[in-house]
Amino acid sequence: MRMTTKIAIAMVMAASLMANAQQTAVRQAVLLPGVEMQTGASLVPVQQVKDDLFAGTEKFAAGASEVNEINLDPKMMGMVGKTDGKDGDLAKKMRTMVIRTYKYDKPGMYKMEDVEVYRKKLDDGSWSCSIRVRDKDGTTDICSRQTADHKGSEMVIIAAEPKELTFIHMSGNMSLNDLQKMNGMGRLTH
Amino acid sequence: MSVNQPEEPFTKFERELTQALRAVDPPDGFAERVMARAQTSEQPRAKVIAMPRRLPSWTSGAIAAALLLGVFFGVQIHLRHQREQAQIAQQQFEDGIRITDQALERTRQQLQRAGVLVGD
Repeated sequence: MRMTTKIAIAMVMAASLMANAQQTAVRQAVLLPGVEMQTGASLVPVQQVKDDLFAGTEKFAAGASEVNEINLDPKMMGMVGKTDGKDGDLAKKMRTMVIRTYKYDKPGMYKMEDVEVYRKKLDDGSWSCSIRVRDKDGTTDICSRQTADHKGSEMVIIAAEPKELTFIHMSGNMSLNDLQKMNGMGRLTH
Repeated sequence: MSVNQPEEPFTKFERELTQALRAVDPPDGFAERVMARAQTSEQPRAKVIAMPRRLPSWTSGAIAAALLLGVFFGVQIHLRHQREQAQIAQQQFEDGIRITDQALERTRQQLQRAGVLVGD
């Protein structure tokens, strides 16, 4: 084989290796060991958002028939609405979104005392809980506060039902009314 | 105009030059010795100097094309990854809003059962 041909083949191989290296590097920037996101039945590797408020809620996954974890950091939130734009308005107001939901086949699969641990975090004086409902079908707490930099707000929803647990933590410049307007719901607060 | 000069005697230099260039007979047996040595001695090896082989003129173009191809593929992979990330973010956002709506709807129902008037 002529030397020129060898050189050309070597250059092409180097180019393909370079492309593969870029792909590998990009993937490694996204994947974190042991971190996965489940929405419905799909498994997609995503970057975990650090959320101290819901740290430890993974224990509720034990015995759950369905687990949903959503982690949207500011970078990922910035990508929302760029595909078709319909969610772009609300996404622009939001900074982060962390959601954990756990569904069970039957009641009694989790301890209410474990849920109370997270409700107590909302009683430190910095949160304003506008809605707290307790009835036979479950409990719901909706609280909000300003962010540490006073440039936005945080909103937390903790809903506990016999067969479902929901933890929602959002931050940004959106309001509860903004969330309800998304699906045409009426105002929950005046 | 040429002037006929009388033939001058040879100068000393010319005499010495003539003497040095005169034909001299070889010594006896010289021819035989030369022939004998020529037949026994090895053929001298000529030193070959290999000039560097010049690459064809299209080699640099091929190298540049290969590098450009690599850069192009890298950019395409990066763009595809960005599109995938945007789709993932969109899907996550939609799921999050749906879950939030469901939670708020349940809260609304709870409040209505409790007799709290809510909504427009």
